[in-house]
This record gives sequence, C-alpha cells and structure tokens, in this order.
Amino acid sequence: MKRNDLLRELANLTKYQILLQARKDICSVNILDNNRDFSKIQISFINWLQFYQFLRQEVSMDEVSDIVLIDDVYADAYYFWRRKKYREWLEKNYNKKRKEPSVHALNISHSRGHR
Amino acid sequence: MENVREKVEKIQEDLKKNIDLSQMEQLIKDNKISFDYKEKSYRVRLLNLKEKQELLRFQTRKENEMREEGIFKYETVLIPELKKAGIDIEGINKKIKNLQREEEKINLQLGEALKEQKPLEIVQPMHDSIIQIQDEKQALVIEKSVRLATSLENQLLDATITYIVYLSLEIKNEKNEYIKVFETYEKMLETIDGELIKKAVSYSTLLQYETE
Repeated sequence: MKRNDLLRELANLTKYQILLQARKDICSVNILDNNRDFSKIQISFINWLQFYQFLRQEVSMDEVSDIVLIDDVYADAYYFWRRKKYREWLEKNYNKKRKEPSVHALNISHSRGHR
Repeated sequence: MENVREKVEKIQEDLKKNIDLSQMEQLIKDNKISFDYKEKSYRVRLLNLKEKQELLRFQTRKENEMREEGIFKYETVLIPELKKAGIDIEGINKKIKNLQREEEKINLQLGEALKEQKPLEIVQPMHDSIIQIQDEKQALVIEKSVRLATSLENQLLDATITYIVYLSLEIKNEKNEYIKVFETYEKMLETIDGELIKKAVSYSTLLQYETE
C-alpha cells in the first residue's frame, strides 16, 4: 500500500528537480510564474522541492535506497531519523540547543560532508 | 490553532481527492488560481494589505457579535459541557498524542532500517504500522472536528474563510478584466449558488492557509 500526496509527487518530478538545480545555477530560470508574494501552497511546494532534493542527494550517494523517492511514508521516516541524527550531532559538537534544523540546514550539512 | 489546521487540512484533502497531477500543477503555478464554472471564468487571489486589514476588522467584529449573541461557545466552555454529555474531547486529544508518539517511535526505527538498507520484509511491516496509526489518528481528528463544529472558534473560522472568498473572488468580464463577483458580503451570503462558493473556498484555502 503506497501513500503519496499530489503536491509532494509534483515536487519529486525530475522536471521540477532539474528546474530547482537550474534555478540555483542560473538565476533567470523560474519555477513559478511569480517570483514574490508566494501563496501558501507555493511555499509548501518549494519546501517539498528542497525536501526531495535532499533525498535525491542521499540516494545518489548510496546513503539510502530509492524506495524513499517512491513512497511518502519511507521518505518521511528517513527524513525524521536523519533530522534527529543531525540534531544529536549538533548538540554533541556545539554542546548547546540549536533551533530545529530545516531542510535547507540539512542540505548545508550534507554539502559539508556531515553523516 | 490546532483546530484551524485540522479544518483547513480537511478542506484541502477534499479538494486534492478530486484533482490530478496536472491540475495540481496549475494550482501551484501562480499566486492566483483561475477556474471555470458554468462557462464563466473566475479566479481567487491573495489578499492585498488593505484587504487583510479589512479581514481583521471583520474577524474582530464577528467574534464580538458571536460572543454577545451567546449562541456559540468557546471551546474552553464547550469541552467541559461535552464531557458531561459523555463526549470526551480531552480523551480524544490524549489518544491523538499517544498515536503521534507511537508514530514517531516507529518512524525512527524505520528511518534507521532504511539507512541500513534492510530488506523489504523488515521495513514493510513498519511502513504498514505507520499507515494504520495515521488512519486511526485521522479518524480521531475527524471525530473531534465533528464534535467541535459548533464551537465559536470553528464558526468564526468558517465566517473568515467565506469573507476571504468575498474579498478575493473575481469574474472575467467581456473586456477580459477581472472584477469582484459580489458587491457586498451580504449579497454573497444570499447567493443560491453554493457550488461556486464551495469551489472558491477550496481554492482560497490553498492560497491563504499553510498546513505543512
């Protein structure tokens, strides 16, 4: 039994993942028609885009299998576990409480080589 | 605030059940949502600053009116009354919290198993347990929202969403310009076309309310 949300399915499409990467590399590439005054559903969509970008990086580095890209329950569980591990790492290394890491923060830690 | 989230989630879930991926793509493309209804083109859009201020005045006025009328009760009053009638909202909240804790526990186990790339025979049962917990939780959330549907908070939220529709629902005229559908809020309430309002409410909540 697979459980997927449409908005997440859209954010996980290769087309949008390519656009997200292109947006970072070439500023003139737009994912949405508007580039300010985002609606709430657009904000959720952008958040999911980053979420799936993070998962795709994890899959590409063989940290986890691609099962997380085809089922929301697996995606959430892996991300939840990964966030907890990141928080523990932060507390251990900085010995103070940090605010809950966002998808963006996890992406940064990822690029810095934290496991 | 929890009730707001639950109510908005319900409206959004109902909408999502009736659309496909390409329609969803249209909904996120812009900060306005256009739709056709009875061969006419409509749209809902984000509120501007002036409209947001008007909405806030409406909410405050409406809440004062409701409090003075005394028909609807705040949840702090309603919940103990329901308990006396044998409906335990606090008990439902407790069950929801316990299920959340259980879900988090299994999520951590499943996340670790996924990291270790354990076989499907190991991860699948955890996956199915999570789905079962989510379904149980959803049933409780629905039960709670049905029981509290007449609370002042919920009635105020209904009125607020309807007022947002009044402020932001527009129709395309013969000059291809979008103009307001209803001149006044009262005129909108008098309309017999509930289906148009229902559609506009669904789309407006996608624009204005965040649930995740």
